[in-house]
Amino acid sequence: MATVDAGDLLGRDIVENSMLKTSWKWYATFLSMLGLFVIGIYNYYLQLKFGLGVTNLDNKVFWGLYITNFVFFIGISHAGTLISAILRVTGAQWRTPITRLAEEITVLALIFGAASVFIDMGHLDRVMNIVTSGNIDSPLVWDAISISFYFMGSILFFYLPLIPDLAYYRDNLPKRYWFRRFWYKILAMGYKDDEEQLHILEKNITKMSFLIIPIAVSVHTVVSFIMSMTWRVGWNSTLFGPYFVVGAIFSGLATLMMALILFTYGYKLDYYITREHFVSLSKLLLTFTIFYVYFTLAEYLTGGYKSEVHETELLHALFYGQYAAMFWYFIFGGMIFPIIILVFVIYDKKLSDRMVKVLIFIASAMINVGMWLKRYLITVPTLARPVFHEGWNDYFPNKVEWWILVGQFAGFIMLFMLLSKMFPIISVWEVEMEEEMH
Amino acid sequence: MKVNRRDFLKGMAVAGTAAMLTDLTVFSENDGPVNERDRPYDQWRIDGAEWVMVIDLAACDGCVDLDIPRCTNACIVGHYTPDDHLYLKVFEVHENEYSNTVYFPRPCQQCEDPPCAHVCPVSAAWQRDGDRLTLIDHTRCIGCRLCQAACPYEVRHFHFEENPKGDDIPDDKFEAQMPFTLFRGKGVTAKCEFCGLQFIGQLPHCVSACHNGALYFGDKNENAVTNAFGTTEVFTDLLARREAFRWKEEEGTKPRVFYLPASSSGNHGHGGNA
Repeated sequence: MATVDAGDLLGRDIVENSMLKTSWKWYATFLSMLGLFVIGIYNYYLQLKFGLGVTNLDNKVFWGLYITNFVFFIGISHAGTLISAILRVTGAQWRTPITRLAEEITVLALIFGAASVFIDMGHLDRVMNIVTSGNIDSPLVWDAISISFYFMGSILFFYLPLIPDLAYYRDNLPKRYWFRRFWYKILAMGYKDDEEQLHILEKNITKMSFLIIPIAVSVHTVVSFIMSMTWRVGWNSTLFGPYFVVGAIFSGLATLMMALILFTYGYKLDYYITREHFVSLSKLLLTFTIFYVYFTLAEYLTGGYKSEVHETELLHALFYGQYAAMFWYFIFGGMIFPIIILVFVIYDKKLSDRMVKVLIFIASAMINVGMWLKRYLITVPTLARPVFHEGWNDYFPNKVEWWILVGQFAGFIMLFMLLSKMFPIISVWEVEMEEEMH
Repeated sequence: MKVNRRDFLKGMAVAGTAAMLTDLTVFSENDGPVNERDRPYDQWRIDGAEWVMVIDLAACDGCVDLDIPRCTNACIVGHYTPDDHLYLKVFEVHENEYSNTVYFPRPCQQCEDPPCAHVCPVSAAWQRDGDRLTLIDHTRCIGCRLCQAACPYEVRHFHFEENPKGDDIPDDKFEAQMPFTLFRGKGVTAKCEFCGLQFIGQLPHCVSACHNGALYFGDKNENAVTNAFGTTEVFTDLLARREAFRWKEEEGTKPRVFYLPASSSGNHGHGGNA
């Protein structure tokens, strides 16, 4: 028992350090992210002032980078649900040190996903019209309902397992952290670490896990419906719902991997997050990569085999035409090479721990780039294809759009860093309970 | 099982949130998805009318003598639209190596079952009661462009910028004339809305501008359509005699724009598969 206690103390110290001690590297990263975020805000201000005309969008390709970002961010928001809820429901115990980060990704990604739609709108000032005169026939209203529920649900799902940790730090932080203690006291809602309260809490976390899975599935399904409820070639597909859901979990997992590795490196979390976790997650990621390969094959093969004229035009542009570079990166860089790397990581026991992390990081980054491109390839070529005897449109995002994209990603990282300072990044009480059980 | 206050409140909170969301979206309308309260253009309406357009592809020469076809130009001038917003666009169609070149004017097809109105999240694109015209409420549109994605005919345009001709629109135009499609601002969609000139007893700008009388306009319920020369045809006879077709019949949108084939031997489906 003594060794466990020592290790336990060590564990708490790590988490406290990550919350309370802030290095100059952290400040430097944070400030540079803030700078990029501000540039993004400025570009959005320009767009607000002069209209969407400052982008390269036009009446043919009227959705571009922003809708790509929308699908991408909503996609990675599925990280939290999968890791936390599904693994909780299936009783996979190794998930405990990972859940907090995953749930934070969900909340933040949803904020930036929703923001992408708002950025894309011509009249943001009228957004409440969706509530006051919403048309339930519209897939966009389904989105609004589904994403609102998911946002509320994932905040709750993030908050509930946070309570015991908040209560712990409310009671155990030194007096000089009175400001933190003040907030933790409010947020912990008088939680006492006794049998009864713990039981109630765990019961409700379990309930939330079951509740949030169907909501998450519905979210990315209705996101795909925005496209697949139209007749347009390339979108007019019954596969889109499940294809998007699998893609969402796939890219969400990859994002989680990147965050895990960066935080493990930055906050020295190796005590909690070990090679075993990375290998287990790699197996999961590999499974979803293979799923996605399968869906992609089904999508393009059924479209291409029939050689219907318009479908063929679109596929030619993807396979050999103006989108070929992106498309083949997506196929090889986004799926095939990552599969090879992940298999290597899982089966080669001789690899050093450090190498495992580096390789997984590379594979995950490649997957995320590939999945972002895939969303771009879903959105843009379908619109660029001439509907009626006009040439292909050559949309490519311009400076304003790119800066807003950079601003969004910088904002995402920035808020993630802030959250890691506000709350313990490891669900310490769950890890401790886990250790006690063994 | 005893229901305590906490459980009850919990249930109420969940039910309340759900009810609020569904109520606002489902039950706030009287019947169907379209909310007829506070709709613009209501003074410009003839109940019981059903406006139709007939386009004679045999008579349309595409105005190849001009840079901009007469109908398109009349539309741009009449509605003060930006130069690249062609609510009526004329396409040069060469279907395959055996077919002749055909000029194909494309206004809004004014579908009986318009996909744009189905997908609009705020019913800013709506088919109104009375004459069942599909219009756009520019004061309600949030600018999401989902209607553009849904329209099989690509007739909808988005105002990415302030209308550069906005200042040219005389203020009294909004009052004295049917104000459909007159628009100054930015960030909303717009399209051909069958002009609105019919409410002051005139043919649409494009119809009167056609030097070949290729465009006909009229009320289906009066069974009469008229072209620029003042020739009035019996609507159903004209369609039957010339074997008229509707564009993309397979979409199930039931357009109210009817095309008369360029060749007398019947429908070659010009544009039908596009």
